Amino acid sequence: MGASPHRLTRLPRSLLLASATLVLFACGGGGGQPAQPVSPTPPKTETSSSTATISSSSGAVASSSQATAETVQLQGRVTFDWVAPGISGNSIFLDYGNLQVRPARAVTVQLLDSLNNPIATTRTNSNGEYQFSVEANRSVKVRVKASLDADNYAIAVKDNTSSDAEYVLDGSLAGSGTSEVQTRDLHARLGWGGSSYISERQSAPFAILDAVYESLMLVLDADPTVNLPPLTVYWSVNNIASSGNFGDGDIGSSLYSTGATAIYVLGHADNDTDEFDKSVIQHEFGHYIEDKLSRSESIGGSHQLGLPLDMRVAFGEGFGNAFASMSSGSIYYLDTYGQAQSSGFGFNVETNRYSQGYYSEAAVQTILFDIFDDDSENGDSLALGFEPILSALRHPDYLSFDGYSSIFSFASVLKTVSPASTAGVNELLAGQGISGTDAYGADETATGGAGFTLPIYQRISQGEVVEVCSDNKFEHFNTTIEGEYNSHVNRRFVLLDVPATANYTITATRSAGLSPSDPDLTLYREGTWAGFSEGAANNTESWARRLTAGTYVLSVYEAANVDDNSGTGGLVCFDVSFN
Amino acid sequence: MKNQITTALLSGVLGLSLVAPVLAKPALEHAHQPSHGETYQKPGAPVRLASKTQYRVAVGQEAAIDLVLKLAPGETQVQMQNDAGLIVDGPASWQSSDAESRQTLTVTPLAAQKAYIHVYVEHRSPDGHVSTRALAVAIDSRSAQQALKSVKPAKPFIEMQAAETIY
Repeated sequence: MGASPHRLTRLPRSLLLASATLVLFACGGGGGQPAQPVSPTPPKTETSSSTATISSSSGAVASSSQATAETVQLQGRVTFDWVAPGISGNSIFLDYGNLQVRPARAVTVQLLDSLNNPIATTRTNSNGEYQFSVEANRSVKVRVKASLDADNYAIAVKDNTSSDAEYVLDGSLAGSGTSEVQTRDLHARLGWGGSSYISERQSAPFAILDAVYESLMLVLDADPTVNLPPLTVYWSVNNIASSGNFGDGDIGSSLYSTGATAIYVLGHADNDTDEFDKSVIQHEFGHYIEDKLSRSESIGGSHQLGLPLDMRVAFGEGFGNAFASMSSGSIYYLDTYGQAQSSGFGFNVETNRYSQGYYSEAAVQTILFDIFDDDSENGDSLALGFEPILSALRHPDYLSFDGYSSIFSFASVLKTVSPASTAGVNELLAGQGISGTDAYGADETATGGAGFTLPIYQRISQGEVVEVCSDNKFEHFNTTIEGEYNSHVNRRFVLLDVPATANYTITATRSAGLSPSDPDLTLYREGTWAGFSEGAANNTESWARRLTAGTYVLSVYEAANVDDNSGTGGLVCFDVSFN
Repeated sequence: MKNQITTALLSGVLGLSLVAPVLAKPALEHAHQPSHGETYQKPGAPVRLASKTQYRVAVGQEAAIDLVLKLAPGETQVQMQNDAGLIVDGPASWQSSDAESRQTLTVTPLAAQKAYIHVYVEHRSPDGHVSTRALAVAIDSRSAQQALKSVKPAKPFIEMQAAETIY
């Protein structure tokens, strides 16, 4: 059942070059020394060296070298402590007994002068190794930034509770000596004292970056030309599962914010820490990839695998889970929390033991992972890797689709990208109880316990009227379930075929059910948000606005069904039109 | 649940509480809230904390905290633990199979600090799937002035000293 991880050892070409060739910054003088050049390439000197340099963090370098090199190759390896999640029976936990020293891959390394001015910058290779060429006998310090930087990405780990300060791991200020080679190995410590954290948790930012690095390689392996906008990952020991001020650490959950283009990661010990929960980091990074390289109209919110969701949320979250497994090569999504990080839960991404349907996050993740992975269990004949998945997500037909992003639109475009996979994709969809036949989910039969959810889209032209309904309850396992905000029953979708660019009035008027009601509207055009109307009038919403010719998709919902208060709201239907 | 505290700490804190100022509005308004767009959370138990998550309670004062959990069908096990410096009266754990679970806790801060009541939830769905979620309720007993003092000066870097070997 094991998945085939993508190649993790390959660095982007730009990174390989950077590892071998020094990237020069403007040289800064410092420490009372004259400004000294740093050679862009390690010179081949004939100076012999018998370096026996051993130093501590005091910064004093004691060297018995008799070398007389003018330039020293300053090299080293950057590592960090990593804690593996453990599984024992039904228990999932952070296994501090399984502490591993791992290389800090592709992180930015700077050489600083005695005034902390950067005089050279490079990156570590896949083994955590870096190399500089520096003037002999120069006082320098190695600084490892918690960042991944290249021409096509820039990702940094910062502390949202300390004015967005960036985490750096510093070596000591020490002389470069006169030997041909000086080695400085730097290690970021865990800070664990046996039963609790007792000192600075240095390795956390680098553990986060390492998970991100795996995901980056997945994407860049699929398409090396990808350009990603800068991403900030905010982690702090203060980040806790309490909703409040993010600057205080009250982030509520690890999450991706589209507005901030940032991932926030929990770090509060004894509550919930996610720096070693690779699945969580990569899940959120998947949201970033979908947001920036593709499109998503997911409305976010709390979600879980077993209950039907708004199809946009189901697709986004299912993609996040599948993306995490594609990145790590593990079929298991694991998340630890609790006192001493001794609890947790997990699930198998490849095998859906939850509910099926187009509105199921679990169904989506299983389909996507089966498209990707090499395994060919019953019902899974595909092993396409990530490339066609990324191609579909970035395909013009997907980006310009006039409905919403969902498993339907994705599967439809994937079949265009990879026609030979059509039968295999259909087989996977059917295996997860998804019968919709096109990008709009036409002919879908699964109701998710609420008959009014079909058809998935209704389409109207100017002057036509269609009735749609909204609720905050549905039947599941013979039980009535409450579902607010992002349940599949909250919002219904109407396609508006606008004949010509002009001013129109979109109207939703209560036709049956809950009274008084408060219909509200949100509009999208080809994946781009085009506004909303949330007036307070009872039983009707009337929205005058200019529309351009073409197709919009309208989301219609009862305000009381999306307010996270199940004490309000209920089944209500509206007549929708535009004139 | 009631925290055990030392007499020394208690007396010290009670002494403080006698002169504890009336709490002003939060001293700090960090401009760090993602202000636009959606937020996509990690998967977890189908449990939502529907009650207030942030309280301001003066040192030594007793406050009632309503804890309202919205639960999906199934069995939900809830455990609570609070940070040092809080006295919390209420159940340490309970189980619920209802759609909503309410508990009223009595909280007394013993020191001027921001402390948390941690709520650990394990949910077992009707078909046997287990998922978890941590939640927390913040109890801030700092005065505006004390909250200001807790602000770290803005620096571009958090400089961590590596374990370094030079040879």
